[in-house]
Parts: sequence; structure tokens; C-alpha cells
Amino acid sequence: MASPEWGYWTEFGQGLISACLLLVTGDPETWSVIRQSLLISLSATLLSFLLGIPLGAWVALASFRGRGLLLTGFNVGFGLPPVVIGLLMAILLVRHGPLGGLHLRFTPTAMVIAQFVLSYPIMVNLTIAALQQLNPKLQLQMRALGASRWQLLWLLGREARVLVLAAYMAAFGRIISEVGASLMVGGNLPGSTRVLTTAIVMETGMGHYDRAIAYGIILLLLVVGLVSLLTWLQQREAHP
Amino acid sequence: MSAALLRAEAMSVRRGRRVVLAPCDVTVHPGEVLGVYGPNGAGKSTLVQALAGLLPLASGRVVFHGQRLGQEVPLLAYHRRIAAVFQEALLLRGTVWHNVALGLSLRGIKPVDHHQRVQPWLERLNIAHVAHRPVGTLSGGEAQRTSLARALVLEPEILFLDEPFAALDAPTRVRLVEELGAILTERRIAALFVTHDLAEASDLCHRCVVLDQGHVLQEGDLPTILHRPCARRVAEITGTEHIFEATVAAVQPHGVWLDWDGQRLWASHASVAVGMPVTFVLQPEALHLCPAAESHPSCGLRGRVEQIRQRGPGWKVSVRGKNAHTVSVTYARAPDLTPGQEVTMTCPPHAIWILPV
Repeated sequence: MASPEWGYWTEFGQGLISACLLLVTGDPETWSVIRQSLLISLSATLLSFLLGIPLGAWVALASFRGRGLLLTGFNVGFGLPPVVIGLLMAILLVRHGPLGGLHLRFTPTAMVIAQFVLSYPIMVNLTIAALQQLNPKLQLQMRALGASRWQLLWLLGREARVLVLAAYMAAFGRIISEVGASLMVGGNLPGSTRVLTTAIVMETGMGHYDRAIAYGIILLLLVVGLVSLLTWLQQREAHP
Repeated sequence: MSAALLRAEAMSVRRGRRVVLAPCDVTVHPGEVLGVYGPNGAGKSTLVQALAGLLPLASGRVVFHGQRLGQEVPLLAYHRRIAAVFQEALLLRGTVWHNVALGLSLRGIKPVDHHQRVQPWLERLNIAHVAHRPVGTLSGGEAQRTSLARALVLEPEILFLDEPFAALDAPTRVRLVEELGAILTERRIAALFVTHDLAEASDLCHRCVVLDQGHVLQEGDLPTILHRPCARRVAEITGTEHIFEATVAAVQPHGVWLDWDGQRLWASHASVAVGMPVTFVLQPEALHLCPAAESHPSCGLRGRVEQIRQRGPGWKVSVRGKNAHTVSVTYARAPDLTPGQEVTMTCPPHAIWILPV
């Protein structure tokens, strides 16, 4: 008779096989979760990127009163617990809350906003770091060659592009794998706010290990793919 | 002289509360190369960057072609009429060509017109053979030539050169200074040239500004700065070895007798009074030594040869006077003297400069 351990491993093995089948056969529910996850996290990071680069560049290149305070603020933002952000957003978006009238709670938009709040400090901080590692005289040199403000931003951003890209990927990596805020403002509604992380939590709770493992594999693949891409890009820049 | 091309009027710069450049007036005329000379931390780069409109001023103003910078001439418009080369080449990723054409792109010149402007400068600066190489593979000299080409291709009205050759080896530096000098003269490009090398300054500059601790100490042609310094500090900065203290012994219509080293020294006229302590500098190249036995006792200063050393291509003889003052005299060839020998040192009165009191 098989031992209990044997039964456990059989179940796990079966879970892994059916997870692969779900992915390969294009199970609509699985793919809907993947699609929503990518859509929400990519939108949030794109927003962070577009709004974070100019602010990061400004803080990195300009000198003004209160700059240190702003930097501290973004450093605090870097370490904000996602579940606290989720809680704050939930309080704001609840029906009778200050932003309740927007009817955003349990919508993908609310999740995009929450993930934007989480990724923005990362984007700004790492953009500042990326631009500050450039030779400070490069800025003077570009201005003395006749670069306008936007041309300067473009040239310096291009020069620090690997690190700026790293900032984007770090931001994406953080929010695609966070669960606290997504669960609190999204609510894990199928086809809408159900994303990889919230689905893993739910499926594991319901004992559907095959689906949980399938989502886990996808999440892992995304993160590994992201890191590999970044490493490749960095190496290509370092040894052209 | 013609109207000023660029003029700083009571211009000063602060970093936080620290004054890094005290209010100063500097003028650059068309086609003129103005040297900015001084020790490390003197404020040379600050002066040049402020004149280039790259630093905010604490006071005063910069006037370009008679128009005030930042008001009558917008900064961006000004930056599109000048160019700068720094100590580091500061190239962007990409090829040499891409970097040389960068300023043209920034100024909105169409890519089809780049070739006819870039190619001649690549050839002139001997970098045409590396035009399509990534800048990461260039030598220091090639990188700096690229940086120079990037500035010159813009045909600037004024070129700011912030110690552009300081990081290069001596042969490369000498060659580049020579080539740049020829280009500036030929194209009549005005330039501000920061250096702490007097040889570079004398090769390139028409006039020099001497800076120390954020203050402009003297402005004038190089021989005047070297031989007629306005203050002891200027003589020290320019590396004058012979700075001595003396007392005025007698004042006559055509000159002054100084009491120095227990001996009498005849100097050109200066505004001094008998008994006054003064500081004077000696031009080493005007000094002459001869064995004491061969000279008349009253024609010069007596001393003893202390040391004869080879220095660069020439020779340097150190002579110790009666009261322990040491004077060095340079020779192109090995002198016919031996250490310990008694010598007489003659010095024409014009080679003695009494510093203004």
C-alpha cells in the first residue's frame, strides 16, 4: 500500500501535468487571468514610466530647495507595504468614501491606480539613480552644444537607457507579483480583476492546485524572462 | 581694439553660500584667444562655465555682441552660437561620426547636410579613419579630437576650452595644441582657454587672466604677467622661482638701488622711497654667470655655485649668495662651471621687477 507521502507527490505531479495542459490547450479562464494581469501591470508601469521619467530627470538634474525632502519621500514610497496602499485605496474608493462617486472599486482601473502608486516611487528613484551615474559634465557639454531642455532629457535618458530600462523592469516585477493591493481594490472578479497573484491565492485556498501551479509557472516565467532580458541588454551595452 | 565679442561685467558665482568667483570683468575680442590660468580650485572652470551661460550668476551680467545674456539673447540661442570642449571628451554612445554630427542635429541641421560639414573636420583632425568606430574603442587622443571636431563643425563664434588637453600624454598634447592654434588663427575663432600649463598658454593665447581663489589677479599678455606680475601671488602662481625681499637703498632718476643679500642691486625705476621694504622678481633667462676671477668686483653679485643639474633639455645652475639666497640660472648647454666655484652674477636692470607696493 502506498505511503501518505507517495500520495502527496502523486497529487503534486498530477497538478503539474494538468497545469501544463491548461497552458498548452489555451484554457480560456487561465488565459483571461494572464491577459488581465499583463494588461493591468503594463498599463500601470507605462503610466509610471511616462510620468516618472520627467520627474526623476528633474530631481536628478536640477538643484532646488526641498530636493532632499523629495528624495526621502520617494525612498519611503519605495518601501510602502502594498497591503497598506490597498487599504488606503479601498478606504478612498468605498461607496461612501471621498472617491466613492467614481465607482472604481473592484474595477481594473482601480488596480491600475494602485499599482501605479506602488511602481511610481521605484520608477522615479531608479531614474534619478540612472541619471546621476552619468558624468555630471555631460549635461553641461550637451547644453553647450545647443541642446534644448527636451533634447537634453532625451540624450541623457538614451545614455542611461539600460538603467532606465532596469527601473521599468524593477517596477513591473514588483507590481506583477504583488497581491495585497490587487486583492483589496480589485476583489478578484473573474474576467476583470482576477490576476495571476490573486488567482493563485484563491485557487490554493480552494484546493485547485493544478490551476494555482499553472499561474505560478506563468508568473515565474515572466519574472525569469524579464531578468534574462535585462541581463542580456546590460551585457550587450557593456560589450558592444 | 574692436568691439568686445563677449564681456563679463561684475560677474560673480556662488555655490550655496560660498563665493566661488568674486565679481570680475573679463573681455574677449573677436578672433582673440584669452587664456585662463591659475592653480587647482582657483575658479577657472567656474569663470568659463559662467561665461558660457552654463552657470547661474550671483551678480553682474554677461554681454554677447552688446546684448545681455538671458535677456536680450536667450540662453538656448546663445548656446547655439558657441561650442565647448571639456577635459574629458564627454562623448555619447555611438560612433565618432554620430558624435561629431551631434551638435548639427541638435541645431536642427538636416542630416543630408551633415556629410559636407562633418567630413572636412574629420580629415582636418585626423580621425576620418575611425569615423565609424564606436567611441568606446578610441584612444584618449582620438576621443579628444572627436570632441574638438564636434565643437568646430558647429563653426562657433566663440569656443570654450576647459583644460581640453590636460588628460593627454605630452606628445599628443603638444601636437593637438599646435593643430588647434593653427585652426583658431586660420578661422579667426575667438576662444577662452583654461589651462594650468604656461607653455600651452603661450602657444595659444593672445592674453591671459590669472585667477586665484575666485579672484582675477591680473589680466594681460603673457610676458607681462610673467615678468611684470602685479602681486607676489601672481609670481608664485606662474611658478616664478626668484621672488626676493630687499630694502630700497637709494632712488635715482633712472633707477633704484636695492639692498639685497648684503649687496647692491641696480633695478629699473619704480615708485618707491628710500628705506622701504620691497619684493622683487628676477627673470632667470636674463641672468648671466661668469667666474669671479674674470669679472670686475663691482659689476655684479657674488656667490658660489652650489649645484649643476640637467633639467629637461638644458642645465640649471644654483648659485648661493652671501646671505643664503639661492638663485637659479638656466643654460641651453652644459656651463663651464664647477660646484663650489666663486662666480659673479650680472643682471640687467630691466630683468628686475619691483612689485607694486
